[in-house]
Amino acid sequence: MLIFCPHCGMRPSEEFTPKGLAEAPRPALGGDDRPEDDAWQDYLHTRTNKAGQTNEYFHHSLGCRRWIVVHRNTLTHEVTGSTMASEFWQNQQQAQDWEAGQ
Amino acid sequence: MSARLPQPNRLDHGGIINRDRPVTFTFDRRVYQGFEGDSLASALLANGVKLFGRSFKYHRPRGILGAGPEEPNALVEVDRGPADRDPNHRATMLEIYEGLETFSQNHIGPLNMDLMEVNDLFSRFLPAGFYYKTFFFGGLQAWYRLYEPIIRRAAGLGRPPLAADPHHYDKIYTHADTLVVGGGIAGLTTALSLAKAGQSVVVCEERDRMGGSALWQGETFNGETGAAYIAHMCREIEAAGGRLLPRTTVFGVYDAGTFGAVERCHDHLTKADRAPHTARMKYHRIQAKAVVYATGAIERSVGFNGNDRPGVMLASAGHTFLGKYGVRVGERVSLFTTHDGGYGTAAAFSAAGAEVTVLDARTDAADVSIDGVRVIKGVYAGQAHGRMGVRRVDYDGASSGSLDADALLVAGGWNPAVHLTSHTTDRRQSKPVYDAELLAFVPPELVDQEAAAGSVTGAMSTADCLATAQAAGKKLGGKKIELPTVDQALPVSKPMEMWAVPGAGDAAFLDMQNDATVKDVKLAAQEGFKSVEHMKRYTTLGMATDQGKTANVTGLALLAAATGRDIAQVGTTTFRPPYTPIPIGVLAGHHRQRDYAPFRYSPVHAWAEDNGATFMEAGLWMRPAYYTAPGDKDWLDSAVRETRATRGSLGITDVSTLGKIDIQGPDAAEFLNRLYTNGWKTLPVGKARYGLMLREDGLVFDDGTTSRLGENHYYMTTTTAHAAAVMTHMEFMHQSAWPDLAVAFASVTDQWGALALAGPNARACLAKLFPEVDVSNDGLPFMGVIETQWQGYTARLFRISFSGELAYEVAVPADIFDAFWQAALQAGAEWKITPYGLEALNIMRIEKGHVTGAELDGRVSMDDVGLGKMVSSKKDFVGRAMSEREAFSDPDRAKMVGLVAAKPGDKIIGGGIVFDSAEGPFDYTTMLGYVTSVAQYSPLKDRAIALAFIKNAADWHGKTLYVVSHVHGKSIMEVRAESPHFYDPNNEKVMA
Repeated sequence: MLIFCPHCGMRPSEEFTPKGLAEAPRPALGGDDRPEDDAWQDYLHTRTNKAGQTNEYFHHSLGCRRWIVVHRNTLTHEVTGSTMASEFWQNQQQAQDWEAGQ
Repeated sequence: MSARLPQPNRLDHGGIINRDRPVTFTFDRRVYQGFEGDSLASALLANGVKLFGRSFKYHRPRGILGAGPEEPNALVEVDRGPADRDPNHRATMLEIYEGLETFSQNHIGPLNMDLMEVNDLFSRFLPAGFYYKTFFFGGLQAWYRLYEPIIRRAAGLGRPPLAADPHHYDKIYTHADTLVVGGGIAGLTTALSLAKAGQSVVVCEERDRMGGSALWQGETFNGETGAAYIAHMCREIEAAGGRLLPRTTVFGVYDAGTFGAVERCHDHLTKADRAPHTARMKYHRIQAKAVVYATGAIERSVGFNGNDRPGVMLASAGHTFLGKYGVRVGERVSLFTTHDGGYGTAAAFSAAGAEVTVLDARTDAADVSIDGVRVIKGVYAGQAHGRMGVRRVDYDGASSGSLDADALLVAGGWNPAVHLTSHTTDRRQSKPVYDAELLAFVPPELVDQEAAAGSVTGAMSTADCLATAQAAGKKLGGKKIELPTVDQALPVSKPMEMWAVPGAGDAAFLDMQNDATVKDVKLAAQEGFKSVEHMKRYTTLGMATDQGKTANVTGLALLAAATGRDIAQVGTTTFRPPYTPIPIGVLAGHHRQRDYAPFRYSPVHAWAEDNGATFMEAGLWMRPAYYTAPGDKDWLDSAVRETRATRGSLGITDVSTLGKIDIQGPDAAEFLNRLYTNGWKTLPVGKARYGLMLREDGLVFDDGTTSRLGENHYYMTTTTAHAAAVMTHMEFMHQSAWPDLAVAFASVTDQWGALALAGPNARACLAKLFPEVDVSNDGLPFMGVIETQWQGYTARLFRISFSGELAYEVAVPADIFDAFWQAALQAGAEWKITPYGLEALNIMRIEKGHVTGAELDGRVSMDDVGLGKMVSSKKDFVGRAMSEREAFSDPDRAKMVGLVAAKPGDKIIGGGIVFDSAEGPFDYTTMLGYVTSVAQYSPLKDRAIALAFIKNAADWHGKTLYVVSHVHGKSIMEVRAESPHFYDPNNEKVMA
């Protein structure tokens, strides 16, 4: 399998280390958050494990050491692309804002 | 070259072998000769050998069934010495070379008098499911002690080698626009079409050369022989940039255009011909945008009694031995066919001087007249006679009779080799589709990036195969190429449906390798194993090294008939990689032993080796555990001596293995603030601070010190064990959660060597090493940092202590660390500087109550290790929210405590369980906690001490407890609990 690293290009999957689904952003800095808060529960524990299009964290650990979010279809195993983790949640937010504005 | 030996079954002409190069080899210690280009099978058949091995279960004598990778019977061992012995080579795929030594397998005593053949006499007592039913009695013990050893011995598939594989193997990434699997005429035609269109093409061919059956079948192409036409095509493909890989098996298809292939580079060569330092095999990981399956078809047999006799073989195999190798497998040949294809083989044998009788199962077969060939229509082979080789064939049907024969060829129809098309569910369904017209499974509907060419599609004539190749080329964007005119074409037709003949029973074999018979399949159906997957597991049909390449389709057709279903309804079992067996070694490649997990060495490793160090592994690092000095009785003696010397005067230890991370940027302090539990914004330049990191779930992750070297410059140390994990964690948090922080960091573990000077004379020694630097308690106070120079190189002095003594760590560039170490030893000589290892360090840090990986095991909170105060409540940090989980404030939660043995000489066993009574019961209902670290002797306490985690830890201080180890015979050890800070609890020494 090949994985596209936005920094290095197409690379073999052996160069990457998977971490898990990227389903919720880390809750914003607050300082008095409680463990039972939904945002923390979602970030830490909720994994929908859905059949279909998913987003997964991969670390290009034997390459540029960037964290990326790989877009993979769990039904077909097709990798449709990837995004730098540093841009992923920002993009999500922009998309949501755009939808809300429509 | 030695004298030529006779080869009785070798014709004096024909074949694509090199008759100028005789090759001498042995089989079961007998010497034979063949020619260059022979397989072991063809060379032995040329010498009149019919018996190649014994069957798996009944030990029936077996010969050759096929001529290629499908061969189930003729498995042999290649012996190049005890460490270099490969079992289970298919004689049909093994190329002979001068001096090759081979042995038959699976018999006790000589091959022609196997003592295990007695199993065959009892064959009616060993039906499908026999083992499941019989060895149920007596339970598991009986299985392990009694049944399994006997079965293992009886059901041999060769002997494994006895030592590590002496060969080496390479892994290669191979890239292509299109991979063509199969270098027969169809694959090559497609490859040429694609290569001419400018695509990069790789053709993998399992056999020793490109061309497949076109090389020798006798058909001509534009008037040229097959061999000449193939040679032209190969040159053209290579001229257009294509790569041809013979002896390369594509064994698996994986997601997104990844293919596994093994190229056999050495197995056909004598030792002298193998280039030194080259790999025996290469594992190609092929990445291709498109693929052409040109994998051909495998002929199938028909179930009749005695169809496993030596001398009964597939018609295509007989034809291959004749055409490719010039070996005639019989003089009086019976040929049992269900389709026109058998007549091509009959004609070839007749032309080679054999007396041929065709038994055609079809009553309505068209009349064919071939010189010297007798045809009997509407009959089938009912029984083959001849234990060590066919002698007579009984036929039955429209007429019946008996024929003298020394070979029986069977043409039961063709199974397209659809295996690879079924390996992946990537983008499409994977199961092959049954074509009731063709009586065969064909590939499923392929996606845009795939095509099939040749007989794998179900095409039968060469012309049809070429047409599919042209279509495949077109589908994948190839250039149109003119197809050749095929003359002297072999006859083909669809087969008549006949999977087993009437009366076929327990001597009618389907899977020769597992001795699964027609009767076994019927029995399985009768006993309710109606799913093809259950039938496979119950009868073992389709298992083992050949994976039923000649057996599967016939088996499931018979299962369909026995259960009253269509073949399409029954379906096939799942095809999985590898297509044919491959050595594990080739998948491992160079990733074995120390190439898999290399050692990491400190810059002073050589010095430590020369000075009596015994090393221990810490992750990949080799660290000195203790240094043996004259008079030391054992490791503990050494460690205690080192401890006393350090506490009494001066010790030195290598701390180069600690993780070191250089952090820079205007937001560096903010970044540290979010990584560590404690605050970092107030840390001044020139100071270090101890920090604790949590995981996001609130549990302790790692600890270490970080120093501020400049306004925006920090230097972090981590534990040796977690260095890589901390780096990865920092990258994740920075990139996924806080990309806006302006900070950059890099691992500098290998760039800096570091040592610790510890003990009351540490300051004096440091002052000698750095005479210009003020290292007094005011100049370099506890947790102070100075960046200076040593002989022109940067040196960083940190006043930090892990041992609990007055101590300094000094880091210098790794290149000069050895020189610096020597200088430190020289400077410390007047105080009898003593190098100490991990064991002494362990004693000292346990005495001091410092935690390491043994305590920070991923289950403890800050509070549990007594560091609950190290939280800045004013900020967010990793693990902050979860550190307030209710469970962490449970009063019953185990916390760290110190344990001291009741009297000198008593041991405390690491990992022991702590109880408050010596009476028991010693189980989880009464346990208080567990021991994490033990110092078997503490000079401070004159006995063993330990760190442990127990419930209500503080309440037990001063009281007696008991440590029980269930894995050491439940010995009960009396201990006293106290604060874990045994040594210098008020830090007077480290601050001195």
